[in-house]
Amino acid sequence: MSTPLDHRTNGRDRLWQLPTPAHRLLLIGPPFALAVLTIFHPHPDENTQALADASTWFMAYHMIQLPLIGLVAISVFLLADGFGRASAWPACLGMGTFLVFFSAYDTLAGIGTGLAMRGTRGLSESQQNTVFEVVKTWPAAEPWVFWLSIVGTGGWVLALGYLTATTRAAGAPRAQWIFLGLAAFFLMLGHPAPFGTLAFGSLFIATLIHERQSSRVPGRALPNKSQPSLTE
Amino acid sequence: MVGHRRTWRRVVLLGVPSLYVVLGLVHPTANPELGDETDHFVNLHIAQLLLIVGLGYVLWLLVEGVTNRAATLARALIVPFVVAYTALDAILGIAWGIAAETANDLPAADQPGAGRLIDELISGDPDPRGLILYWGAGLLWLAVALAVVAALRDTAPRGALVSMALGAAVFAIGHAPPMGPIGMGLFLLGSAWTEFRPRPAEPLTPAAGG
Repeated sequence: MSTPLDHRTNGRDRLWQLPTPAHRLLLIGPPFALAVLTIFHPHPDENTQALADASTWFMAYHMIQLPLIGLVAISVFLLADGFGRASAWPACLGMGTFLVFFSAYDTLAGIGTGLAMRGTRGLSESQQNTVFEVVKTWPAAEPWVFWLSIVGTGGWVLALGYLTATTRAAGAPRAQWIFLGLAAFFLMLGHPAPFGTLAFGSLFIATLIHERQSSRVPGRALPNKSQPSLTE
Repeated sequence: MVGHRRTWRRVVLLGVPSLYVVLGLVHPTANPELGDETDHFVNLHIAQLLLIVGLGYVLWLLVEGVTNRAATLARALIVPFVVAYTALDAILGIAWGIAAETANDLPAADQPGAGRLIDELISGDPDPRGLILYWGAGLLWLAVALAVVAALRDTAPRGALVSMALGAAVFAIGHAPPMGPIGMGLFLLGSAWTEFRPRPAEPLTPAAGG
C-alpha cells in the first residue's frame, strides 16, 4: 500500500520550521496565484501602437509576477522539504537557477519592455518607433533574453523532474507525481496561458494532494534518504 | 562535519565573494552610453546572475544550523533579496547594455530617441522605478546580511562581525568599483574569519562498538 508522506511529523529533519497555517499558505497559495495570474498575460500585437497601448498592463503584470516567482520557488522548496529533499542538489540548483534566471527573464522581457514603451507616450511617432525598434525583440527574440528563459525553465524542469522521480520512488500517490511531472513539462511550452496556467495549476494540484495526504496521516515519519520507498 | 562537506562549504563561502570582488574590479565605473562598446558590460551582468545564486547560497550556509530568530529572518530574506537583486541586474545591467548595443546600430538621426530610453532606465525622471529598484535591492542585501551578522553574534568573533556588517553596508551602495570590491572584500574577510576561527576542541567520540 502506498504510504502518504507527512511534512509535519518529523520537525527535526525540516529546514523550514513554520506554523501550519503559514506552511499551507506558502505551499499552496503561490502556485494557485501564479496559475490565475497567467490567464491575464497580455498578448499585444507586435507593433508600436499596440505595445504602447498595452505597456502599462504589460509592465504591471510582470511586476506582479516577479515576487510570485520567488514565492513559487519557496513553495517548491517546502514541497521538497516535505520529502526530506530540500537540501538535495537537484532541488537547490534547479530552484536557484529558476529563481534567478526566470526572474531576470521576467524583468527584462516584461518589465523592461513595458517600462520602455510606456515612456514613449507623448513622444512623436518617429521617436516611438525608435524605442520600439530597440525593445521589440526583448520579449522573446533577443538572444540573451531567449537564453535567460531557457536556463530559467531548465532549472524548473530539473527541480520538478527530480521531485517527480523522488515522490514516485517514495510511494506518493500517483496523481501527485503525475501533476509534478506535468508542471515540469508545461512550463517548457511558455509561461503565458494556456501553458503557464497548466504548469502552475498542475503544481497547485500536486501541493494540494500532498497537503491532503499529509493531514490524513499525522503519525507518519519522513522518508529516509537511504530508504527511498515507503511502500512496504 | 564530514570532510568533503566542509571543503565544499569553504569553497563556496570563500569562492563566491572572491569572484564577486573580481567582478567588481573589472566592472566599468560608468554604464555605457550611446556609441560605447557594450559586450563587456552585458557579459559581466550575465555572469553576475550566477554570482547572485552563489551569494544566496553563501548567506544560507552562513546561518546553516543556527536556530535563533535572526537566522530565521535571514533565511526568509534570501529569496526576496535574490529576486530584487536579479531584477536590478536585469534592468540596469543587461537591459541597459542591450539597449545601448541596439541603439548603436540605429541610423544617427534615430539615436537620440534611443538615448532617452537609456537615460530613463536609471535617471528617475520622470519614472522613479529605476532608482527604487536600485536602492531597494541594495537595502534588501543590507537587511539579509545584517540578519546573518545578528544570527552569528554569539558564535563569531566580534571583529569578523564588524567586518561583515561594514562590508555589507558598503556593498549596498553598489557593486561597481570602488564600493563593490571594497564592500565584498570586507564581507569575505569577515566570513573567512568566522569560518576559520579557533574552536573549542570537540570531545573525543568513542570508537564504534567500544
